[in-house]
Amino acid sequence: MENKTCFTLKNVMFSYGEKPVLQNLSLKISQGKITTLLGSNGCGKSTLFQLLTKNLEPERGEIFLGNKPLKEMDLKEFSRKAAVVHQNNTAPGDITVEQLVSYGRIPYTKMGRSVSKEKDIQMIERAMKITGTLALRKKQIHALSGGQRQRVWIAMAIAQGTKILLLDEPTTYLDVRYQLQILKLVQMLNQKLGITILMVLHDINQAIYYSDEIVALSPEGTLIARGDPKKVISSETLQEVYGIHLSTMEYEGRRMVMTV
Amino acid sequence: MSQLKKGRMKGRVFAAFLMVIAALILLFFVSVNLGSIKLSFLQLFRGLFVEYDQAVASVYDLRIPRILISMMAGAGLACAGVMFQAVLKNPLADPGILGISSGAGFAAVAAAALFPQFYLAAPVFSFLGGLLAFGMVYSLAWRGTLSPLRIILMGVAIQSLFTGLSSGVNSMSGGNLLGVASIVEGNITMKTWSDVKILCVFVMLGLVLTMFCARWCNLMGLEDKTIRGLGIHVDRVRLLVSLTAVFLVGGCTAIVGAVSFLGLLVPHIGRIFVGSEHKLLLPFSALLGAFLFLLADTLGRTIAYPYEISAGIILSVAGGIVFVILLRKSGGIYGK
Repeated sequence: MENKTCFTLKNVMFSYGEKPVLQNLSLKISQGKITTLLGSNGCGKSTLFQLLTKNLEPERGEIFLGNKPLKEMDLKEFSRKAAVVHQNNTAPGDITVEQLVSYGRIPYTKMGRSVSKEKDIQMIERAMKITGTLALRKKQIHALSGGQRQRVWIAMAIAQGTKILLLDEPTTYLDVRYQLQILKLVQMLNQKLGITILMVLHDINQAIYYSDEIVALSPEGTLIARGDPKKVISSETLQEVYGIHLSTMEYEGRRMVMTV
Repeated sequence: MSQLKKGRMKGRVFAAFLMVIAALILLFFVSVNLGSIKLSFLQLFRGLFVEYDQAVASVYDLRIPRILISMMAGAGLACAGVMFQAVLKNPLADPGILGISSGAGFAAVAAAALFPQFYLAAPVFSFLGGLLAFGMVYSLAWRGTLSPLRIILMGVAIQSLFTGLSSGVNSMSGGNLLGVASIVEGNITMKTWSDVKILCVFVMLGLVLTMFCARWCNLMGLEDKTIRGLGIHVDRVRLLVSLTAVFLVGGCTAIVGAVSFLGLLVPHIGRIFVGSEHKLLLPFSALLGAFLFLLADTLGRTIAYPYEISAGIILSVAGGIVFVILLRKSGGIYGK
């Protein structure tokens, strides 16, 4: 059974100056699932991420969201369909959690005025509740820990009320406890709220455990494999992705990768 | 607990506003009274509103215009500084350091030398000059992103270029073309009510536009790609806010000359008192800028009386010191 697709890429090319980053990439991202992008440093994961979030435009090829070309979608329309949590987010240290989360309602303003104040309040409240940041609402951003801060950024994205959420390395710089907290939150968003998740992760085992589908990119920016982690992840694929040998093993019915 | 804390924060902001307003009013009266003519408050009031008084009349014609000009220029330059710092995400941005004041100044000087008959249009010329300088700095510093360091370095280069050109025009005209020399030297001694009116039009219009920019300036605290993710065309917003700031700088520079460091200093002090919410920071900076410029002008005409030091020079000395302190403190990145 073929699933509905969320993003479709057709022969996408992108380069920075002379250096090609993505070459002839065609790819489908399924709707309603958690998809993780895996790839070595500099393989074009982040570039792909920027292409999917309209921060960059492909040189050749097309990207569709549903049936509509991404190019024909204006920023506002896109921001009502997909929310993005980027890497290395910054915010003025003295604004409160609630203020920051409320920025997630900007896609629903006209000329700086909110379309519906009640809906805004309700969505902001809900976003903070889901991410467990309600108790922090009056706190200033600089007073938060790294893990709390990341949850606030996710809350801001959830306040956008979209069916798609993109996360660029959401666990980077967090210790393992907060990493799991974030990944469980992401899993819950997918399972309870049916939000399509597309994220970039560096930890292969976390990618296997939390994803429905894996997209593996080669260092040259081409697609190596896409699909169920159990089928995709093998020593051979990992050799192609990272250029080194990694052993895999089965543990409690799951595939694990020895990253040492 | 947090409610209490929030209440305290609001109280603090309120007190800061009250303080700067009171200080500005006080300074206004002190400044009116400093110099060879001394007036009591009552005499001033009577002279202005009740009956003719010769002393009051000369104060009205000579001192009040320069006081009002100082206040308006201070407010305009300070707000321009806040906006540049916000949209360039650079705590060291300032209309002077970025070279925009010098560009505006040069255009005003060139216009005064070439078309002295278009005196009233001086702010329009300097706005165009400011735009030219801004365009140069922006396009030369652009490498896919705007590095905070590169934009400051470019600004220094552009500033030096235009300051040199202005001095050149001043020297070529023998240093005695009144309109030229007063802009180059930042001398506001001979300003009249007609200057007040010109500046008033520009600054008031600029400040109204500024208040519309406050919301955008707030958003600029986030990363560009995050702002874009919220459906905002961040480059358009940056351009509009910058244009508003250049407009203010143009208007002010045509009347008071190229003034550096005020736009750098004020936002930093402002953030300490009212925080980074631009709906508060912009009006507070306008008041504080008015106060500091007037203070500099008042000090300038009293320190070495009967000789005068221009407000620009006083601000340059004070601002230079603060700039060094800021450079040592910050790693060059916006926020904490």
